[in-house]
This record gives sequence, C-alpha cells and structure tokens, in this order.
Amino acid sequence: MGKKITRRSFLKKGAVLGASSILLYEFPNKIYSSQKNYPDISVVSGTDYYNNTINAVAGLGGMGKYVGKGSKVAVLANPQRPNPGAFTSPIVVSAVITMCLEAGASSVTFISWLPVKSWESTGLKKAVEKAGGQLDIVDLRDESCFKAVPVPEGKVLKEAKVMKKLFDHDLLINVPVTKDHLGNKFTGTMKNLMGLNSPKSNRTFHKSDWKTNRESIIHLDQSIADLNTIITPALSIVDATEFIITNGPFGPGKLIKPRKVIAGTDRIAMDSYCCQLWGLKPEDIIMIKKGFEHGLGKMDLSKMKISETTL
Amino acid sequence: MCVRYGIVLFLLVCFISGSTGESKNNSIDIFPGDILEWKLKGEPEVYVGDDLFLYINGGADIYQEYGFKKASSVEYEKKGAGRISVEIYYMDDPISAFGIFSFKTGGKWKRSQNGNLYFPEDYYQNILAGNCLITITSIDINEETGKGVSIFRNTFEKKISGHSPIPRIINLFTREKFEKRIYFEGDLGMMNTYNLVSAESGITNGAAGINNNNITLLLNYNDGKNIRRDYSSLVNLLKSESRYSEFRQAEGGISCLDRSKNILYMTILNRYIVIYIGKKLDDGKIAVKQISEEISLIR
Repeated sequence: MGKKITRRSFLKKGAVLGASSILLYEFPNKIYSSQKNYPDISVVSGTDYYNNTINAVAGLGGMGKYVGKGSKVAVLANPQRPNPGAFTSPIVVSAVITMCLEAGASSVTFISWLPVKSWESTGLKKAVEKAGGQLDIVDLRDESCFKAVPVPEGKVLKEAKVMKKLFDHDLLINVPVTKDHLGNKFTGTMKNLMGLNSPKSNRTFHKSDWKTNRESIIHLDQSIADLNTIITPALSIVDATEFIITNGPFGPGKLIKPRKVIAGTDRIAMDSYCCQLWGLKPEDIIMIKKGFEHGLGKMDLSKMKISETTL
Repeated sequence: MCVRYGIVLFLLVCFISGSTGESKNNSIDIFPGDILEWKLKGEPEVYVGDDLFLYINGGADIYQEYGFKKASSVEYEKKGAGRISVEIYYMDDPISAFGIFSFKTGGKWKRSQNGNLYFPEDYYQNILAGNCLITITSIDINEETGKGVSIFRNTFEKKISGHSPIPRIINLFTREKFEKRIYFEGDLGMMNTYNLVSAESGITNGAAGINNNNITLLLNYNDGKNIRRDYSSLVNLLKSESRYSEFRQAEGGISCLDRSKNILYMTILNRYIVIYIGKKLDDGKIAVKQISEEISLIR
C-alpha cells in the first residue's frame, strides 16, 4: 500500500520537475518485477468473459496488488470500431472497473482521444458508466492536450506526445483487444499504447510519404517499441475473447473466439502469447522483437511461467 | 466555340466518372435515405487522402499502398434487429480497387447478377464496382442483419456501377488451380500474404495464388526490364536472412527452406519472378508449369 501512495507522489513530483518520462519509465518495473511467486501471465478461458477477467487478475494476486486505496486509475481500452472483434469487450471493461473500485480506487477513468461516437457505437460508453467508471476524452486535433516526453532509449522515436490526462492519475491499466493488424501483423499490449500518444505524433510512426515498404514497416514497429520504453502500465489485461484475424485493426474480418482473457505485467510475454493464438510466431512480429531488444520482457514462451485455467 | 468545348469536356468528365464507378452520385449522395425498414443513422462521414488515418488509424496504410482517394461511411439501424454499416472506398482506378478488394476478401470472389465482383462472409460482404470497394457489415450479428447485408448489396450495386477489370497478372493464376488470388502493389500487401524478406523487396507489383495452403508469388520488377539482376538481388536478400536455410539449385531455379520447413522454390518466368512456398517441391514445379502455360497462351 505504501508503495502505491509513494508511486503517486513520485509521479506528481516528477511532473513538477519535468522528469515524468523517466519516472514513467522506471517506476512500475521496480514495484512489480519482484513478484516471483506469480506467473508471468495469467490466462483464463470460458464463455463468461466477466469471470474470465476477474479470475485472470486473481491469478496474479488480485487487483489490490496494483490498485491502492484512494488511487486514481487511468484505463486505456480500444474502442476503435464497432465491427465485431475490433474493440475491447464492454464485459471485460466492466469487470476491470468493478475490480478497481473494489480494491479501493477513488476513480477509474478511461482516457482517450478517439471520439465519443466510437465509445457509444461500441457500447463501451454505456458499460463504463454503468460499472461506475468515467470517460474522459480529449480533442484529437488539439496538440495542447498532449505533453512532450523525451524518449531517452528511443531508436527512432526521440520524443513522444503523451496525453496530459495520464499524469493526473496514479497508475495505468492497459486493456487492449488483441487482433490482426495489417501493418504489424499483430496488435496487443504494446501497440495499444499508441492510444495515449497524440495522433499527430503517431502519424510520424507511419513515415510521412505513406510508403509501405519494409523500411517504413520497421520504422513503425520500432516507434511502437520505443514508445513502450517510457510508458509502463501497472497491469495489462488483454481481451482475447473474440477478435479478428484478418483485415485488422479495423475489420470486418475473420472472427475467432478463443474466449480468453490474459493478465500480466510483461507486455512482451503477453503479446508473444497472444500472437500464437492464431498461429503467428513472436519472432516473426517485428514489434515484439524490437520490444524484446529494448529489454521490456520475455519473448520465449517456453521460458515463461504461464497459468492457464478454463472455467 | 468555348461553350462547345466546355460541353464536350463536361460530357467527357461525366463519362469517365460513370465508367469508373464514382458514377451517378458523389460520395455523400450515394447513400439512399432509409432502405426498407433500415433507418439511416446520422450524416455520412467523408475522409479524403491522409484523413483516412483519422478514420481507421493504422488500417489506412494498406489503402494508401493501393492508391486511396476518398472514403465515406454510414450506419443504418432497424429497430429490434441492430445495425449495419456501409463503407465506400474510392480508389485511384479500377485496378487499385481490385487490389484492395482482393486483399480484403483474401483472394476470393464471385460475380453478382449485376456483373460486379463480391464475396459474402458470414457477417459482411465486400463488393467491387469500378474504382469503388464497398464494405457492408453487420455490426450486431444476427439473422436479421445478415439478411439486411444482402439487401444492402443489391441496393448499392444499383447505385454504384462500373467496369471491374481483373489485372493481367491475376489471370495467370487460373481459377481452377488456385482457389485464392490476391493482387498487391507493394511490400505491405505481400507481407500480409507471405513475409518474404525483411528488407525492401523493390517490387513494382505482384500477385499471390493460393491453393491448399501452398502460396505461389508472382513478382513484377519494372516490367521485367532487368529480371536476371532483380532475381539475383532477391536470392541474395533471402540468403542474408537467418530464417532461410539449405539453399540448393532446383530445376531452372533455386530452393531453400523457411523456419516453418516450407520449401521455397524460385525461378524466372518470362518477365516475372515466381516463388512457390509449400511443403512439396513437386507441387512448386507444377505451379510454375501451370503459370508458364498461361503466359504462353496470352502471348
């Protein structure tokens, strides 16, 4: 508990000092990497997605390990498009909010620059409000809503533009839907963080001339991995219940239903696990390799401690 | 005189527009009001050029690779049934539209009664009409919206028409021998079919024919002007990648293995580089022979 309160004041102090990027980069790993008795990732399958979510987090020791009493929680979900399997399940989101509030969070806020229409059409707005969370949307064209944050370890991304609202919170929970992405082949925990970076900055991930050659694809993947060096969610919960494996990220595409929810703190491990749900190999996903090269986590599934449960 | 030229020019523009599928209406007017019991929800959204990125984020890249001009989208709703979305993507020309259509359908299509190409999936359909790709999706999957998608296809096919030529390179994969055929105009399209090289391949365009999980790539480099040089460069690129091993000479070309133990067999056919990826070298030789026969027929 003490650590969690420290974390908040640490971040605020950092913001005042203009060094929040370094703190964002450092603090979560210090707190969570020492939890040796828990699995790297906790996977729960079943038709009840709400209970899958609750149990996946329970497998890591419960939400109380990450969310302190009175803490302000920021959540990043993906409401990209109402096409089936292209957005985070409202049921998963409801469970996340309930767990945070039960753990004593003073607020659970979904921050986003995607328009409210996306949240309404996916049913996420209703789910967030019903479960006791809040939605806080910024104007995606207003660059003053984003804070310039240096990326000291960035290989191609030297400065990110992170949503200012993130810095008003004590911790971030990342709740992506995993799915196909025709640019990266795959999207999961790492790619979702582009939802915190300004669209204008994200645009630089895709090279300015819109070329889609290999160099541009590698540039995109490296940019995502670089962004992940400065933002470390306290917890990631991946919706792998129903998602598209072709024509991603937007869809419509071929829908599969593994009915899984995956929880963990190691984004590389989680993305490596998720991509193989539809036959991809982590070593073939450039973004995962780049993240691994940054030392962000484990890529070799055989060396991970994975807890898998079916309800 | 000037008035006469003006009229001729106007008629010419109308003709060109009509023949490429942008046709009878502009992108907003193309959406009818209600369709039977399906009520139009809100105003259509329109995205031009780079703005596509705001609509579909990273999903925009592939449209740009094929040559994107404009997109418009709208939703319809039927009480008690759910929602259906309609997206219309206007591409540079009918070949670009065919490319993105073949990419999104995974290389499968049928011909509709109206003469357009389309492919129905379980909850959505893609339709190719001139330089337009139309995607109609059941947002809420159920029987009613499923029926609605077919009704919508007929409605929009009547609204948008235009000749949809199939690129020559695609016709080298006969439908009888290759169940799926995808046209691509860059590395991103190819990468999503088979991740051939980690460096830039330098292709001008290409196509994939897929049969029983065997993929045959036909790659075009500058219309084959320096095909032997481009072939050597590509072989060297493959040799530089650790995921390929066991390079050998094979009937008029070279073979190797990828990390999944697929055989890659590559050779030159006319002005194309052809690469078979599958489990049996003999299947590769058969695929090459089939394409070779098609090339000789076209000659």
